[in-house]
Formats: sequence, structure tokens, C-alpha cells
Amino acid sequence: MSAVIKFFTRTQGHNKINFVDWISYGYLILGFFIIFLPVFWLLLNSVKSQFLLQKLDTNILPMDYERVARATVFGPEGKEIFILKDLPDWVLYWNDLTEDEKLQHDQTSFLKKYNGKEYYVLRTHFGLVSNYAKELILNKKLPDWLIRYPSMFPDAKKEYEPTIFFKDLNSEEVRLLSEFLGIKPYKPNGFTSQILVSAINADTNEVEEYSVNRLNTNKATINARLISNPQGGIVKIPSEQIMVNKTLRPSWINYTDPLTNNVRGMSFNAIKCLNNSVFVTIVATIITVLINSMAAFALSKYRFNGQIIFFIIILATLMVPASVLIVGIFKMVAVTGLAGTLWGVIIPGAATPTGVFMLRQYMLTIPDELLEAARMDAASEWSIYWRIVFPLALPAIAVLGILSIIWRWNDLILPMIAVSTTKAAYTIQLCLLDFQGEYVAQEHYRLAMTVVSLIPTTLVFVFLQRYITTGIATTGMK
Amino acid sequence: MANLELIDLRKSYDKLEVIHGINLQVTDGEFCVLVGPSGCGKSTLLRMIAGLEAISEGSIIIDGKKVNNISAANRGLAMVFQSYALYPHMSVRQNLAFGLENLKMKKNEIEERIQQAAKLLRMEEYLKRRPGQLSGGQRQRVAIGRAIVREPSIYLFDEPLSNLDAELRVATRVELKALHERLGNTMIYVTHDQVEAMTMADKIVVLNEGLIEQVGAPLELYNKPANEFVAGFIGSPRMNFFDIDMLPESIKQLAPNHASRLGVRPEHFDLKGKIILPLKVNNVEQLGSDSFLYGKTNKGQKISIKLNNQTQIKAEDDIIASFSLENSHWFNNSGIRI
Amino acid sequence: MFESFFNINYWYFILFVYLFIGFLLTREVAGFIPRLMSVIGWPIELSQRISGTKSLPYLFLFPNILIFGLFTFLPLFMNFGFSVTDGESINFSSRDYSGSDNLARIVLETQIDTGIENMENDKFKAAIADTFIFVIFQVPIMIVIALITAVVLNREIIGRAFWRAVYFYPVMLSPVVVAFLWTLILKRQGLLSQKLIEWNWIEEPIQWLTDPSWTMFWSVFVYTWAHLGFYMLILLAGLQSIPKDLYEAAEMDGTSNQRVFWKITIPLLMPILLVVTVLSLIKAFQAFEELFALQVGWVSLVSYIFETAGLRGQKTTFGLGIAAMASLLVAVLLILLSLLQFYLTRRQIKL
Repeated sequence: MSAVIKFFTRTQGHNKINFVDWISYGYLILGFFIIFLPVFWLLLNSVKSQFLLQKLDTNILPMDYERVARATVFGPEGKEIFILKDLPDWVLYWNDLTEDEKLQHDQTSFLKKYNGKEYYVLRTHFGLVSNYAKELILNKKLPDWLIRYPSMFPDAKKEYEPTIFFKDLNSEEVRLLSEFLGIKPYKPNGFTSQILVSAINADTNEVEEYSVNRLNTNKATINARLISNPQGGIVKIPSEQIMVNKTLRPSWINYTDPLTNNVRGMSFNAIKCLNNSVFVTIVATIITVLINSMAAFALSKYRFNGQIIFFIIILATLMVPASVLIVGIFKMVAVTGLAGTLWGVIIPGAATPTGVFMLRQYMLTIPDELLEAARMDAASEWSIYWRIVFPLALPAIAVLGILSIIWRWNDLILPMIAVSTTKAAYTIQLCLLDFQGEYVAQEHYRLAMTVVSLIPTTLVFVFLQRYITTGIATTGMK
Repeated sequence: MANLELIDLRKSYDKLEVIHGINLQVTDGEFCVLVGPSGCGKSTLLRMIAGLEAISEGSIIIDGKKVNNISAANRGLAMVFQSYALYPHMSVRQNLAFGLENLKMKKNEIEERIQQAAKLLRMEEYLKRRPGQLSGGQRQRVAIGRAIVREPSIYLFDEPLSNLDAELRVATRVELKALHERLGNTMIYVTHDQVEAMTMADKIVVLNEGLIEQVGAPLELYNKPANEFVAGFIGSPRMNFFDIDMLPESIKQLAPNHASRLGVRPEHFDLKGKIILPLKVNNVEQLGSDSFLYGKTNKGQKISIKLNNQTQIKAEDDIIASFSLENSHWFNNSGIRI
Repeated sequence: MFESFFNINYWYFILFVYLFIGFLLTREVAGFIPRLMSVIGWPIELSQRISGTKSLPYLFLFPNILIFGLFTFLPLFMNFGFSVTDGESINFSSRDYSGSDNLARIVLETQIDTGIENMENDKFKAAIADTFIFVIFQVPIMIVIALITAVVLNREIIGRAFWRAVYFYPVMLSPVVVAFLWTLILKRQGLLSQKLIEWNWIEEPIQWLTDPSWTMFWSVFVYTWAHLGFYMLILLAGLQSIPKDLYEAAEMDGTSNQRVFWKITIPLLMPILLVVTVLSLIKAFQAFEELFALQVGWVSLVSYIFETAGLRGQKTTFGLGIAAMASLLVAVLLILLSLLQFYLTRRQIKL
């Protein structure tokens, strides 16, 4: 006990590191881990691919699995399952690509490298079946209703008999048309990304490659498909035997896609959100610094009637935080016509009692004689404010400015009140929150954008920490 | 170039009056020193002239024009502050230019004036520095320079030398006097140091508790102080005052009618004059050139004597001091000199 | 509708006219920044030229006071207005006066409109109860940890600035980021559940944030994690302001370290400790953003207000009025706490 107390009381260090010092450092290092564990975990996860995140990967680094495609092809011989190896990423993720990205790749010439069942499955995967079928219908001068046939109601379909045209077509053409029209025994072919693993084959006692859907090492066995014999069905292989081929492959598209506005199929616009936040932060900080320093100047450098009353008014605003006035602020933002615009986020928070007090305390230390000298120098009161007092209060103004940048960038309540119903005016914080609810499957983008959103405040913190800590230590206000 | 006239000027804060009706005329080109003990209202008076303090009653007239309601900026005066009040975030050049810019003066004219002032005050080398990088004396020059570039009708000085060390103070005093002669402007100078007042002034205004005690040339004040306050304030060390009743009969007989007090300056005592005053020396200070004797008369009144040579007299000696009638001042009951 | 009377375009127009007048009035000013500042300050310049300095302090205060008036004081009155009226609209013209109905809707056991059991009352009561539980645990835990950390950091340790920065860093993070960081770990398939299953500590993954037996623990944990650094910093500043010679004097007297801690450090730190406690009470009662983004399994008072008010476009019949009434009750609590805070810090403010 006394050692603990000693640890609490000693402020003078001794040269020898003793027991108490060990506890101190232990405590600090423990704190370091608790504080930075989630931050690092976010950073590391933000460069994991969508695939890894969906597979609930708990690796520290973005070690991506080697992937294969499990293909299912339907035909006269029935269903055939096989594994496609060594496909490029863009093929594996074809369905997730944006239209622009799809244009960057030439799937038709890629397709030429394949034939047979591999060709069929990739043709389906690239979504080329309908294009090719329509081409075929036009070339062979077949009736137009064939094109509409797949989207007809079942009742309407009964009136047509598409198979009558099959006699004029070769087997490849029959297959194409059948896949398009959905005529048995053909069906749309299946294509899924899977993980490539190696394990000992219990029958042959040799190491062989398997394809698995999900790597859940918590389970005793994992369902896998032997690559050399995919038709052999699902085999169970013991978890501990599994060897996974992994390569370090950070998924930078998590960052580049949203930042180049290349996010597929979503109304989420990260650039817009970031722009909004930057605009709000910069404009609000300028306004805050300007009007708060004006008020502080009036309160510190003039004697006038009602000075105390104004002072108390500003003090009183500290007592009623925005969070309990949301209904009223919502109303006032609507009344003033600021709702749905970024000004509705900027203006209500521009006057801060904290800022006025901090600046006032500082300005009280500027000697009045300087102002009198300026008056003798024929300076107007406005130019005394901005040419004498403002520059001299810069140390305090810098503190307020930096605090304001952080407040504004991190603010959630005012954007929620003012622009909740206007997506175009979302700030980055609102965007992230919105994203969380709407696009669960796109977590990789959300994590990356979360990292982007904490870059500005982190940079400010790293380089301007001194101002922030003095600001908080002197005012005791956040 | 301007005359300044104060007519029944009063200043009160709430109900407390601190300036009780000042009447004063300063003619063009005069070096006028306002002197008085601290709290006498001399700084307030100066700030009222400057336009930094509101006037409660009376009027200030500059060149025949009443300026009561004209702001400090537009009175065309310049002031040198006790703390210099240099703008710490501006270079010396910017400090000098600030006032001129406010008057919307052209750039080349500003530059010309700055160069002139810099030359006059020998501060060309440090025009680019900030006040924080200057010594006390240099700051003092910049403060004066800032006033000079304005080419004001009247210069106002608020104890400008009090922040300098003794040696620099004497040097600057001489320079300021020379500057006045060169510029020929009206200057109003506030100080509590009567040496500054005596050495620099054309006209001294002695203030006490918000009232003028006496206005006059330095020697006039020294030789013919209007009252006990001025007599005591001007001159160092202080004049000795004796109650007539406590003096020896021989001196009492010399007193004019109504006189109640006698004042003799320490330097006007010697040891071989006609009118004699026996005393016991308590303490002797030898300064080499001068000697100071402090003692008490037979009736217990304190006395100090300044001898302008070295002396053999020691503490506890009984001596006889003397003075002449022309160097003695008689005051009546209410302190007025007779 | 009154809302449409003021439109953002009117404000742009007013701003344009303001700047244009300034532009015309300041033609002789040279240089970009002087010109800009003169353009911004033209009413003050003009007022000084016309009527002297008397009105200037009011003009300097005007923008600040205007914003405080519009977005702090008027909202307070609006809240009163909403709390005594019924209706879906935010226009008072289409809201009906309902007196204390909204109060009844959140405090009575039976629903006054339908006479059946009052769900709103249950929700409100739950919000109050949960918020109090949260505050009771969060504040003392955080103050104790903040004090310990401040005391450790006040020792002569290597890299003090670094450690201080480490502990302060979470304060820089936005509530949304804080929530996301921890969701990544605490969600059902998050790191914690996965690792615990891997180590065979639990059988099934747990959704730590909504699980009834864990939600409060993790709410307190994450909230403390996010705000600890701020209070640590104030306490550290307090510790550093204790004169070193007091400790030296105590050492000369041979005072034991225990006594030094309890008789010197704690009493001298007490004023700041009190202030920090009240401040953290005020903040904890308002806890909302982190918890909202974490989607915890309970509703704090401010979350309740936010969700009931339906500001994100949800339809509610009485929501606005109920939310306004609830906010007034919370505001009273916060004002009382703030008054205590002012009383404790009155010396720093120097009227």
C-alpha cells in the first residue's frame, strides 16, 4: 500500500529506476495499447479488401488469400461444378466494378482465351449472354418476341414455343439461346469467389489444393472442395491441417474509389462530404475567430452601459448546450432559412462563449496605452481592433482557431439538426453515420473514409498540440 | 505651431472631482512642463488635452478653436507615453508609418518623413527591428520619432524619461531640449521630477490636488515661490520650514506682519552669516563636492543644510548656522508667500 | 408559411449588399487585407465617423449577440412553445395549444389521448434511469483514472510529452470515429468476440454493444476512453500549478509520502477536482453522439430527445412537443449543474 502511495506522491525523480517507476511505465504502456489498439485495428482493416472483411478476417496485416472461382455450369449432362484458377482480380470482382471500370477491361478478348465450360461460365459472369443472344436473333432473323421472352410473365410464355427455331441452329447457338431464354436443361451458370487452401488429402496422403467458401478456424472441420476433383463433392478437412496461401496485398481501392468518386451503385459521395466538411470548418473558423475576437475586444477594452449584462448573457449561453435545444434550434434554422444549407451548420455555432472568454482574458493583458497611442495616431476604433489588438492577441486567437477547427470537423449535432434531410449538404461525419446504416456490404469503403476523416484532426494534433493543450488548460473548456 | 488655452477645465469621475478648474495659456513654441507629486492630476490633464479623457466641464482651445468634442485622432497632437506604447508586432518603420497611414498619406511622403525622423534621432540602423529587440533608450527614440513624423501642432510627453536609467535620463533630457529648439513646436511635458522641470521648461506649471499652484519660469518659481507648496516642491533638497513661534527671538523680530512660517533652502545656509540659528547636528553626509548636515534646532525643529564644500563637522556637534534675509521666504497662515 | 419568407438567397443578397456598400465606401484603402478588413468593418467605421465612440462596443458585440439570440435564447423560448403545443408541424400557426399535455405524455402511467398504457412514459423513464446509471458509473471511474494518469504523468518520467499526447489523442477524434473504432472491435463478429472464441473463453459471439448485460459496461468504457484525456489534462495542469517548494518543504520535514499525498496534493488539487467532476457530470448527462453512433442497447436522455423529435424526417404526432418538454427538463438539470460550475470557477472568470 505504501508503495502505491509513494508512487502517487513522488514528483521528484531519482536516478535509479525503481519499482514505482516500473509500475508507472507499465501503466503508461497499458494505456498506450488500450488507446491505440482500436486506432491501429481501424488503420489495418481499412486496407483489407471487401472480400477479407466479409470473411471476418482477424489477421493483423491485409494478408489476402489466393482466390479461385467456383463455377457451376448447367447442360445436357446436368450440373457440373469445377474450379477456375488463376483468374485476374478484375474478373473475380467483375460484378462489383463500376461501369467505367468495366470499360477499362476488354472482357470479350479475355473470353477468347477460354472455351467449353470455362467459356460458358465466364460468358455468364461477364453478363454477355443476353448481348450475344440478341446478336444471334438479329443475325438469324429470328422473331423479335424472342428478345422479350425472358421478361414475359409465365402465362404469356405459354403462348410461345421458342424451341421450334432450334433445328436451324448449331449446338453452340442452341446453348446460347437456351441460356438466354432459360430453357432447360440450361440455366444461368454460377460463379463464386472462394479461398484457395492446401491440406493433406486423407485418401492419398498427399498435399492437395482445396477451395473453401469461408475460413472459420474456430470450427473443427471445414467444408472444402478438392480442386483436382471438384465433382467429388464437399469433403470435411480438419481445421488444423489447413495451410492457407496468403500474400500481403493492401486494398488501396478502399481509399481511391471513394476519393475518385468511383463507388459503385451508391449515392454516397465522399468527395462532396469532405468538401462540405472542409468548407464548414474553414468558413466557420474564420467567422468564429472574427466575431468572437470582436466581442472580446468590446468586453475587454471599453467601458459601457450594460457591460455586465452582456457578459452575463454570454456566460448564460454556456449553460444551455445545443444538445438540449435541438428542437428550438431546428425551428430557428428553419425560420432563418438556413435549413438544408451549410450555413445552417456554420452560423449557429459561430459564436462560442468559450472563445469570447479565452480571448477576453488574453486581451485584458494588452496594455491600454497601446490603444491610446493608436488613437493619438489617428487610428479608427475598427483599425485599432484589427491592426493592434487582433495581432497582439494572436497567441490566444490561434488557440481558438485550432479548437474551432477540431470542433467543426468533429461536430455531429449541428449537422444532424440543420442538414439531416439534405444529402447534398452532409458533412463527413453525417456521411459516415449514414453509410453505416445504408451500405452494410461496403464496409471497406466506410473504414477507409473513417481513416480519411481522422487525418485532419490528427495532423492538427501532431503539429499544433501545444496550442490545444494550453487552450484547454487555461480555459478548462472544450 | 499652436497656442493652447485651457479655460476652467474640470474632470470628475462619477461625483469625485479630480481636476478643479484649470486655467492655463501656453503660447506657440513654448516648452511647458506640468509638474507635481503623483496623484496631482497632471497626467489626467495631459490626457484631457490629448483627447483620451472626456472633459467634464470647461474647454480646451487650440489655436482659437474649441476642441472639446474633437477626437484624439483629429486634434493633430502627438503624444509620447511613459511606457512608450510602441506596437510590439510592428517594426520600427511600421510603428512610425502607422499614424501616417491612418491619415491616408502617400507612400513616398511617409517614407520621406520616416527618413527625416530617423536621421534626426539617429535610428536609421534599427528601422527594421521590432521594439522588443531595442534597448530602453532606443525605444524612447522610436516613441519620440513616432510623434515627430506626425508633425503635430503640439507635442505631449507623459513622463517619457521615467523608465530610463539615471545616466541616460540626463543625456536624453539634453537631447529633448535641443530637439525642442530645433523643431520650435509647442511641447507639453508631464513629470514628477522637478529637476527635469527646472532644466527643460520655458514655463513650469506646478499642480497639486487638481489645482494649479503656480505658473512661471523655472527660476521665478525657485526664487519667488507663490506658496509653501511650490517652495517645498521646487528645489532639492527640500526647503526648511520653521514655525515662527519656535524660532529664536532674534529671527522672530525680522518677520513681516502676518507671517507664521519661515522657509530657507538648505543651500542658502552658511556658517558665517548674520542671522544665526544654533542647532545640533545629528548626521553628516559627505558627497565630496557638497556636504549635507541634518540636525535639530534648540526647539526641536528639523533642519537640513547643504554646504558646497567638505566639512570637519561631525555628528553630535553643536554648530551655529546662518542665512541672509534676501534668501528667506515668509509665509502667512494660509501658506501664501509674503 | 413563415419558413419560406426567409430563404438562404435573401441572406446571400444581404451579404452582397453589405459587402458592396463596404466596397464603395472604402475606395481609397490600399492593399488587399486592409481593404478586406475595411469592407467588413464599414458599419463600425461609419458609426464612429457619425456619432463617435459611444455605440461602438455594442456594434462590436452585435454579431455574437445576434447569433446567441437567434440560436441559443430564441430556441429556448421555441422549446417552451413546442412543449405546450401539439401537432406535427414546426409552424406554430398549425400547432394547437395543449397546456401540460406533453408533460403528462411523458410522466403519466396512462396515455392521456387513448387511456391505454403509456409507452412514452416507459421510454422516458427508461432513458432517465439508464442515463443516471451511466452517469453514476462513468463520472467517478473517469475522474479516478484521470487523476491516476495525471499523477503518473506529473512524475519525472521519460517522454512525458509523448505520453500526455497519447492519452489526449482520443479527445481529438470525432464521436463518429470513436464509435466506429469500437464497433469494429465490439460488434457481433468483431475482434473481441472472435478472439475470445478462439481462446475458448466464450462459445457464441456476443454483440457486446447491445447485449443487455454488457451494453452499459461498454458504453461507460468507450465514453471514458474518448474523454479521459481532456480531464487528465486539466488535472495535470492543476498538479503542475502546485508549487514545488511545498513538496520540498515536506521532504525537509520528513513527511511521509502518504501524508504528502493526502495533506498536500489532494487539498490543493481539490478546487480543480471539484470543477472537473461537475464539468464531467454536465457532459455525461448530455452523452449522446458516441452512444448514438455506437448504436448501444439503451437510450440516453439526449438520444431520446433526438429520436422523439423526428428531425431526420420521421413522422411523429406528438414527437416535437414531447421532445421539447423532455429537453426542458434536461435543461433545468444542466442549468443547475452549470450554476454549480460557475460558483466553483467564479474566481477564474474575473468579472
